[in-house]
Amino acid sequence: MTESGLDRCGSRGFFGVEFDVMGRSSVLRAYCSLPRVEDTVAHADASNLDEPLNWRATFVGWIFPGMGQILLGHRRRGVYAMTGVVGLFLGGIFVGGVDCVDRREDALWFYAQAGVGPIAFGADWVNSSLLKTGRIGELVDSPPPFMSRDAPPKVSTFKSVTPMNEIGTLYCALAGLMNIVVILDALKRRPLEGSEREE
Amino acid sequence: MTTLVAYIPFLEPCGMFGVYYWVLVAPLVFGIAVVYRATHDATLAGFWSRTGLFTIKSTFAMGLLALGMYLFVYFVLPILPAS
Repeated sequence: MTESGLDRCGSRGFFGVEFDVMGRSSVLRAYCSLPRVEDTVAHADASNLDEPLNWRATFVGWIFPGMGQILLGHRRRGVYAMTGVVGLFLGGIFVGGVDCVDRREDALWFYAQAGVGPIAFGADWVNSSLLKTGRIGELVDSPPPFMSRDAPPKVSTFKSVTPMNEIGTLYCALAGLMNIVVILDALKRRPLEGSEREE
Repeated sequence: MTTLVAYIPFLEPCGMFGVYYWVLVAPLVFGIAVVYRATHDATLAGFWSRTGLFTIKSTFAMGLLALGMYLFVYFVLPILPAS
């Protein structure tokens, strides 16, 4: 830590200090040059509580992530939110396969994944109508259920197992939960009017 | 090689990570950071810098937690008295 670092950062950084290792402190120095936290964090504003809730933007935001913000005029913010949510969801399916979204077998996970909106239901439809019916891939016998005389269920050769399935499921579920955050943000965000639209 | 050629993205799980699946925590945190910053910050100035720092700090914190858990399980637990 250097004295000059303290002088330069002051209250502008999170920590207010600068670590100087072997004369290099690029990360924290870059951070100190960012706007102050109090200028960037959206604090609760009492006057905002009386504003009407944006139910239309909320619904549109559930139909497709980030569209609620775009509808309210916060185009850049909406595109960022859309990138994050859709990226997480597609990343999950890419890692674990479409079997990660399963309304019947993983119902609890699907409750979280459904936050993404129709995309999650579409992925579940692809899984149940294409993979589980054997229209894509093959259906093979699975190990018989423990202590059961029932015939072993047939599963798709594309069914995902191993940590890839768990991580893919987690990605998709977190995408849904984060989209709920985005939806709630659209519910209360102040719409931009006229020249304000387009941040 | 056959597995690689037959791989159909998005339909079947990706097998390229193998035992290094844990590296996927970094893009996961990055995605969360993008959404968090997009909804949390009043202005979008320095958006990608903040997102990058959020990702680095969160991933580093999780790594430290994992290291702490490793040390606890492999070095602390064995020396505890078993009754």
